[in-house]
Amino acid sequence: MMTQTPSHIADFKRAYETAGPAFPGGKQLGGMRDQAMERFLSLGLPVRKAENWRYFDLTPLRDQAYSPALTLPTATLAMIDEAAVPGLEAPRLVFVNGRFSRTLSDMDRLPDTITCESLHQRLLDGDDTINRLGLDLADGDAFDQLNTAMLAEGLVIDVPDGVKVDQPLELVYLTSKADGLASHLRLVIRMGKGAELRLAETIIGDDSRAFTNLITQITLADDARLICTRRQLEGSQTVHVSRNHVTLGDALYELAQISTGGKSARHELLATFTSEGGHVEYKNVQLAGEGQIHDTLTLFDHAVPQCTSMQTYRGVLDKGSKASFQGKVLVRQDAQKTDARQKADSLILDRSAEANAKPELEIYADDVQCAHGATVGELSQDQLFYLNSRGLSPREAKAVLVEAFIAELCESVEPEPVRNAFLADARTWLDRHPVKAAEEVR
Amino acid sequence: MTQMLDIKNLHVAIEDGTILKGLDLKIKPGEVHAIMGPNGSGKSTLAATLAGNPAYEVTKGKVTYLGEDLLALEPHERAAKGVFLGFQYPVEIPGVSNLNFLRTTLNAQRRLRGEEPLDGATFMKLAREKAEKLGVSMDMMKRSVNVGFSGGEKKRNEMVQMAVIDPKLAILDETDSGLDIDALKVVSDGINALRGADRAILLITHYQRLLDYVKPDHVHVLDDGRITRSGGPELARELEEKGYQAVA
Repeated sequence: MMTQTPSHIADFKRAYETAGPAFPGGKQLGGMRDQAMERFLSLGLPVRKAENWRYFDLTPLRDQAYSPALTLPTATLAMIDEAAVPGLEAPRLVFVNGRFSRTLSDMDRLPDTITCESLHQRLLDGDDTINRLGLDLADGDAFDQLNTAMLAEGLVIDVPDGVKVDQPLELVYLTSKADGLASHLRLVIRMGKGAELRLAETIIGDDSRAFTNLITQITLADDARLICTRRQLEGSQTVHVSRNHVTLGDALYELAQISTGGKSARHELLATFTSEGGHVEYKNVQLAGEGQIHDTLTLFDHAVPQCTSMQTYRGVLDKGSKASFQGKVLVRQDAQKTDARQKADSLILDRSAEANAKPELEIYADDVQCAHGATVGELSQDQLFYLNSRGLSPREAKAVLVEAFIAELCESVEPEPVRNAFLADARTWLDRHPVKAAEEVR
Repeated sequence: MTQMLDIKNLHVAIEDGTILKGLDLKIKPGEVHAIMGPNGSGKSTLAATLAGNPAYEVTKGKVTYLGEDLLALEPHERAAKGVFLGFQYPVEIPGVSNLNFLRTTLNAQRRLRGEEPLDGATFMKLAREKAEKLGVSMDMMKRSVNVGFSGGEKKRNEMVQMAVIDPKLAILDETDSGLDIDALKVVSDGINALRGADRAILLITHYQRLLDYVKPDHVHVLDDGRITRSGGPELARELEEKGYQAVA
């Protein structure tokens, strides 16, 4: 029986064919792209029935066509300054509408102990990079395949053995005036033995109906440390799917994230432990407003003994929003002495919001410590009245309590300018969002 | 002299039924009133209603505060106009430091009154001075509001808030309960410090004990939602000796 290709799939195919000639790279890469596109066409976008996608909404991707930018972007330094973390002393690497901007990036300020190059440049350099970088995600889902097919922009960062970089690197991704734009970005970060690096990412955009598909591949050798922060402040009409694939040895990977943006916004952190002593620390604060759907999905594969992981999630949901946390910890049979913890707490500001938490432990080893907890709650009427009686309006009182709910997570974020940016992002959201005083029922 | 607070025929209901059933009370500036009464007589209901707790519904009656209809104001507006409620059970707020809470609330009130917010240094000086007087350490001031505080510490913390906010009408709901004798003296000093010609205090209490330290001008007996007797300080002693039943 013939089944007709859904129109949005045809749209992606057309976008691929149109952009194809402009993509960098030679024959081998071309082959890989084609195969990835074939896989995408046969996989299609995930459907709601798929357990991992049941809380998400991909309708915006089905309703409209999205193609990569064919021209180099224009943005002013002022726009980037406004998007970046205030007061952070760091060389910047800038993407505008899915394209790397060399002119807006501080290439000459990068530490000379590391190598950091745009993926576009690396792909122009030759086919042999593909294999070395492990760019093909043959086993991945539709987003992995689409990202591979459209592979053109991103970064390759290598921190050699023993190199400790004091100053953070700042990555800014800006989407501006970009209806129908798809940004398929790929970051490859490789940390050598004992290497250390901090990354501060800001993903920001206007109200364009755009699509961000950001995949980050991270490997950490023993004794490496990679500390990352991410502000996801996409525009209210943008579909955001980002996925971090992390493979670590006896090393430390940290990611602290705040998300307020996107119409449908999803972040995945997939971590695999490959030698004893690894630790992953994940913190995520999600603030969802009316009409937004936020998803967080983690899969931590404790494949070897003596590794530890800690996940802390705080979701705040204003009326008419939906946010979900799906966290899975897999402890394989050999992974004795694993210590894996996850805690997901959600606060709904209105009964029309929907919070989902699905912690999952799959344990095959017998000598492990694993814990998970999930709560969904509302603001306490006693606390609200206490604050009101002291002079705070209902709206101000809510803001104080919401801020208190997420403060603990935000306050542990380093360095200080990023911590302040997290708190400022939360306040901006609070100024815009929580259910208005006038709408409250006395 | 005009009244600061004029309560007429106040009826208040909660989900389970009517608690206040026609309460009348007048308070002039400069006065200290004490309301005493057995459990369930409606003392805390009166306090909560005056502060505007939405769980309490006024079904009848009128409350005028400084010439204004108090019941028409939102709780935060009442606060900005000088009404302060000292809670019987002060609420814990994890994640908000005492200092931050106090500064935010004080400045919110000032803003509502059209005044400039206090700057950090001025506020800190004020908070430090008031906290010290009430035996609350700066270490406690930096901790989350009331979290991990003993009953007595919570009450002292309420008094620090009152001292910093400097209200016109302080309604203190069983501020003396759960205090040992030393803490009672400290808290009483705090209340007495607020006394002044343009301010009034409404003490709600079970026991005469507090009234040894804070001398009331008027004492009222509240029974089954109504004030059944009023008198001077001697009434409190009579209650203590004979019990509510005999007096009311």
